[in-house]
Amino acid sequence: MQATDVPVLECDSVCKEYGSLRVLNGVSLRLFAGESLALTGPSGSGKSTLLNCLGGVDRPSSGAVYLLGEVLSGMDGDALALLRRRRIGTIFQFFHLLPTLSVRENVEFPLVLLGVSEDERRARADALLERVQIKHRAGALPSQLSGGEMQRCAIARALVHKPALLLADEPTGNLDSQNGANILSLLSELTQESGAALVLVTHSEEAAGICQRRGVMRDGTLSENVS
Amino acid sequence: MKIVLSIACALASVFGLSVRSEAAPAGGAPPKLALRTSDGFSVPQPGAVFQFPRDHGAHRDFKVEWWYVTGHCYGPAGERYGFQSTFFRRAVTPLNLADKNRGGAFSSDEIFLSHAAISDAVTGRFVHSEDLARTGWNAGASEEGLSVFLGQSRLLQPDLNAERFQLDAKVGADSGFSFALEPEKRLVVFGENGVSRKGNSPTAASWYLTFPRLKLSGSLRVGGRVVPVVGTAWMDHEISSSQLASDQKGWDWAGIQLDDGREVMVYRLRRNDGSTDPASALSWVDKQGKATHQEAGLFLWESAGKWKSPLSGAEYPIPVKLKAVDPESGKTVEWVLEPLFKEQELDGAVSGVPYWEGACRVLQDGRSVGSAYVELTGYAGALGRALR
Amino acid sequence: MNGGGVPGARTVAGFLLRQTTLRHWKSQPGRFVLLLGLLSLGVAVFLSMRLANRAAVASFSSFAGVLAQQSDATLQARAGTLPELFLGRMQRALESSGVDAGGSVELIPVVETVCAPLKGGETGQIGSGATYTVLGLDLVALHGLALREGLVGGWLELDSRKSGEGEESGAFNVLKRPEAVFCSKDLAERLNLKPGSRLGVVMHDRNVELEVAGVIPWRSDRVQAPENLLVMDLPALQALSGKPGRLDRVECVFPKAADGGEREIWMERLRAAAGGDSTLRTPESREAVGELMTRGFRLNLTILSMLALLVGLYLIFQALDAAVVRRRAEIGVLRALGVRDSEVRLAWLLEAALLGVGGGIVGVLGGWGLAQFTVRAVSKTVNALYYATNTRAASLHFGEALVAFGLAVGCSLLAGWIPASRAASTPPAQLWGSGAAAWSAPDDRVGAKAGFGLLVVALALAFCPPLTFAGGSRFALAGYLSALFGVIGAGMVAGDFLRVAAWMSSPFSKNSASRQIGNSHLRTPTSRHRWAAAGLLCAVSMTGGMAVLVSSFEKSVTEWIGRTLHADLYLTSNANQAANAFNRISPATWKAIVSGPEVVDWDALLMFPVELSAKRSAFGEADTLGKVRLSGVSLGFYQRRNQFSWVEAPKDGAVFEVGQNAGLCLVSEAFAERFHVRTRDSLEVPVQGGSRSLTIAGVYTDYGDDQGVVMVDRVHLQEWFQLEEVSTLSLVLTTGTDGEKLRAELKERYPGLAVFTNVHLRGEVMRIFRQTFSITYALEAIGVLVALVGLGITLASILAERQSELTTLRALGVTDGGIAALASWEGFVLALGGTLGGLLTSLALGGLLVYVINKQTFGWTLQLAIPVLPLALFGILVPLSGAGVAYFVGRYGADLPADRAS
Repeated sequence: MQATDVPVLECDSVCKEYGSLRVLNGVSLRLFAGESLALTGPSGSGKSTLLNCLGGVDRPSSGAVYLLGEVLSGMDGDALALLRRRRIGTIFQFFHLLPTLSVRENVEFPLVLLGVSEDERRARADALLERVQIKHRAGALPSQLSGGEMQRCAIARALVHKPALLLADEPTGNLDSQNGANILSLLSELTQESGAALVLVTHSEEAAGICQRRGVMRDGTLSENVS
Repeated sequence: MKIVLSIACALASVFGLSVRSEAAPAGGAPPKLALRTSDGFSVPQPGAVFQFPRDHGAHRDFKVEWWYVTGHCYGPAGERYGFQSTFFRRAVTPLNLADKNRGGAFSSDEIFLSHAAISDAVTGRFVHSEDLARTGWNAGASEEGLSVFLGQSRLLQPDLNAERFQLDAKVGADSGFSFALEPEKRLVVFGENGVSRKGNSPTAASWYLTFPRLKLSGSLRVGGRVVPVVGTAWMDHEISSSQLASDQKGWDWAGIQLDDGREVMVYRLRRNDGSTDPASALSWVDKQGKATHQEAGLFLWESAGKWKSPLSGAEYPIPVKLKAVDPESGKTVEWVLEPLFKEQELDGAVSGVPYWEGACRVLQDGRSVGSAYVELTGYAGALGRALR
Repeated sequence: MNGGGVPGARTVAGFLLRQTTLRHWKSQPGRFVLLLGLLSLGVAVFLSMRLANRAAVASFSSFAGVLAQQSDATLQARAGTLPELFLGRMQRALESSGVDAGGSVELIPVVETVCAPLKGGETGQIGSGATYTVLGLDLVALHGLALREGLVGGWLELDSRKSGEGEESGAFNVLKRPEAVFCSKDLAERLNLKPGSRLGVVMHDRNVELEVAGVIPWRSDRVQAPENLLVMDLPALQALSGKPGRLDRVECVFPKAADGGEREIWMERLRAAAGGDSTLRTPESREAVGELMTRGFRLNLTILSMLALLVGLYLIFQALDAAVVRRRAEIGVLRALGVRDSEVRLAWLLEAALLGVGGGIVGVLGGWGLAQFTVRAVSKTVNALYYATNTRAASLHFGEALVAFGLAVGCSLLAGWIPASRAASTPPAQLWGSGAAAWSAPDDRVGAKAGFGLLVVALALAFCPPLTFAGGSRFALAGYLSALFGVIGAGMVAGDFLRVAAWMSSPFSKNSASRQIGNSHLRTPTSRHRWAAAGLLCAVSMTGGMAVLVSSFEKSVTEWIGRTLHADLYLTSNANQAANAFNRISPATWKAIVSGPEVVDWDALLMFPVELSAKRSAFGEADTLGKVRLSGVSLGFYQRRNQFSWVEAPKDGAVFEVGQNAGLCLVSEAFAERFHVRTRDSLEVPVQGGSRSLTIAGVYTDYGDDQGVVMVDRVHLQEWFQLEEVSTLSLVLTTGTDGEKLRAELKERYPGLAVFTNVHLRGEVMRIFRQTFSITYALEAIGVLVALVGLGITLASILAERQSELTTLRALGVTDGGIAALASWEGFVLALGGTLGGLLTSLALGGLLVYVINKQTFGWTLQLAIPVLPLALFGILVPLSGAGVAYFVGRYGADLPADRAS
């Protein structure tokens, strides 16, 4: 991994207000390739809102978010969509697999959006499915999978296009402890292998433990403990 | 012998003896003519006295009548054309049964059929058309004098005091002719004692009145050109109530105009078995207009070739070789009647009877000695159906 | 490695279509089939009306094209018939000089009559009996023409019957048989007719026995003869139909080679040769006459059929919108993964387009099948009101099918536009955060203001004049637009009706949890609620409006009949089964009848179709002609016995006195509207061989006619047309006479006549009017049905949106039945709101239909009659039905998370 000068993700005094309610209060952070940051904090502290802004899905009221040096606020909807397509991978708490696509098709989907050829798509997807140990379920529909299997599929989908930034929202929130532990170790390995930057939102100590850095959100401000 | 018998028949009929039966005798002289046909029409009787201009007109009491004009004409540059125009009248109801009150524009008692054709020797093109109409607003023939019309074609004597005729004919959509005709010779009545016998049946006879040579001038339109023409015409007017017997297949006819100022009219009736009916006849008309009648045995009609029509599939025996005895010289003459071109068949779409009617040259020993019109019927299906 | 080869929007959209949309359809085929079915129903109804209209008009066109060749122009007298001499005159005038002109015009004389098949027994319903159109043509000329065209056997040789001994058999024998007739192949098959079969018909006042001579010959490359066509020899038909020496028209055929410029020259020459008493028409304008006559009627039908299509459009919108809600999570994921707005929108539009294509194809096929039924209904009405037609089949016209298909796809795309945009603007935001609340669509408040604007426009349009076509036929375009805008505007204001409905129902929901919840949502209705209410409002207002129109009609017509039909017996020819059949009663017959001892007073009506020039039509050319009826009655009788309904009453009694009224006339209201005339104006009315100048003395109401009637005293009319026949007789009998008995006697003595008692005739008139509206009833029913289905779909999607709320309710202990009750109440109030608004709008719409659209199109003044009871019933049934549909949806269609596999 080459450390470069340009951080993968940078927030500069990001604020977000909904009417008179201030949800984010001048959040700043910097994340380089290969680094992982766990975001913890009580409910309503603004974790999800911050994640929205980092993913280009919501716009800060003030301040700026940079992804690989490009400021997100200057981009229109299409540009943001393309950015997400190329640079960001997402893992949701509720998995959010596309219900009509098989496991393999779900994993290939980001590559379809990037115009990768069928053969290459298949090869890359299969490789990842093997890696997350659900290749034997490649043809199943999400409705036929267990929670753990679904999350593995989601992880594979989030990484198949080698994004620069990985956003994970309570990846084990809907899993039992055994599955959760497996998922976390998988996530940790794969992230390090791929060299992506990771922002992980969680309540769980265990989950936070796989990250190098830890930040706490409270009343809209972020404070980091240098670990 | 024959002559005596014919006169006897004629006298018998003059004294009112008539033959009712229509059966043809087994052989020998044809039976006496009946006065009426079985469907109530009159039969032309020998010894009739004709009065003109009235008898140029229609004879309502008879079933079938036609006025028939053919001829040859030439344009200013010598282009040669042949033409034919025929008006047929066919009565459906005999006069005594006709609905006298139902005159008007749509009579059901009588039908008219017209044929017209132009043979363009310049292009070798033959245009013809047929038309059918009932007596009424669109067709008719006067009984007072010559005035017969169908649609916009007509043949009439414009001035009843002068023997001159006007013929206007439309041939299809864009061809036609308009001629003034003036007889160069007086009228000829063909047949023995004024009746032309057409077979063994007691009703098979016609009055056959002909102007064998008329001077023609006028204009002709064909193929988009209008040409002023002059030439010579032949005009027939036949009146009868029955033409062919059941054992007759058709006839061959020719009207020949010789360069020496004489004319020849010949018809050969063909029987079903291929033989020539003895009623066939040939007539010479001399320069003064006197006709000499010759019977079947005195002339020979042969074919000098064949032409198969692509339209009807009939095989017409053209050119025609005709051998006859010249009454003036007593010698046998042989002519070849050679068509200007072969395709001169009228397809008979309306009448149902295709026949060949064409302008011909008359060749004697290879030299042209006159012009003729030749008519060949009955080579494509039965002719009698339309005329019975 | 993540390369620059990003695929285009179309590729991604196509991929989405294949891998998500189509798979959703496959997994839930029922929904898809239902939607497709409803769209195709709308298309089918629309197409079937169009095809039926076409078929009914096509039957009017000249039959000559079927038999001979397509004529290039038609000559007709402006009034009455042409004399036979006309032909010779025309022929001579057209003669080209010698051989110089190219070609000539062929003149085909035609005599035409409408007669009816002989039926023993009771007089049936007026206008529903079959009719034959008999053409009298010169069979000899036709025979020649057919033979020239290569038709083997021609006409006359078909008559192969051998006649008796001594008679001529063969070709021309048919000319000697005055009852010989040729029939169509279809009729011969249907009635098993062979040469020699007898065919009994009623012509004028007599029964006539015709003899079949053969089947009309036809060429395979020409249209087949219509089933009800009979052909006779022209002089034979002249005699049978009492027109000796007369012709109805002359068809003219130009030389084939004539090009456009030459045709104009021929038209000019024909006009010059024909003179001023006849009209010259081309076949297009002849067909146009029939087309124009019925244009108003047919347009009305088309408008109504578009209702079905519009409702289909509305349904697609609702359904697609509901689908967007259902698949919101999926769309959010796609957006999160980087799918762009445009790609999402395109994918959804493709889905809408596919629905349109599928619905279009099925709809076209269905429309063709449905047309076979509607054509009968339409042609029955046309037959009764305009001219003889009994078309039974409608063929699939490619152009119409294409239009219907195009409309299906177009409507689907239009309907799918908003849902597609909604889908495209679905933000991915709500997927983060475990407590992500149910996100509801931004509420578009476009509605109310725009709605009021439309209502104002609608009001303004209601005062605009109608569109006038050549020939005087009118179309109330502004009126229809006013109706359209009014209904749409009211729909947009529907949300406010919902608030009213919610307020009205709150007292009833105090003690019920589910009712309270239902009401609470309606106090702040979402756009989805508004759309559902709008759809119902549309359907209810249209149905209610039509109900108002129909009841106004019934009231007006009933009163009119009550006022004008006073005689005890009415007689006419049994052959008058169609509006353009002008069969008459001979003088011998009618004079004998009216001199009977039971008759204390009588009147006879004589009428002719004539062509009038619409001099002052707003948009027409100076010499456009319109067909109207010239009627002659005893005006004194009318004054004595019938009460005229006056629009403009005569100033004095001169018009009722035979001695003074030769130059006076009365005109019907429709006439006055169509030709823009009033009392004291003068008219130039064509009569046989000339014309007469008449002054209008008054304008009266006549619901039996929408083309226009000029009424004069019969005595003068008979003189102008030189005949003594009459069209109908009215008899007033001495008191105490048994009308039924006399009727039976007259029928027996004159089997060719139809005899009606007063009661029967009144019943018949009402029946014809109801028949005219039968089609609209069907269409309205469809409209309401579809709106209710739309309501169901909407509720399903509304409930799907509120999953978390419903889950919470379940958690709180509400049963399945409770949820259904909640949905049911919400549906009830929703439907109530839509219905209330709809009923209000229907009153306005009804007024518009009565005072504007009807008046402008047909020229009739109607009295407004509001059917209070039916409307009230409707107002109760629709909300109840809404409740029922909603209950069903709540019970089975809510699709709650608890029901899904975890």
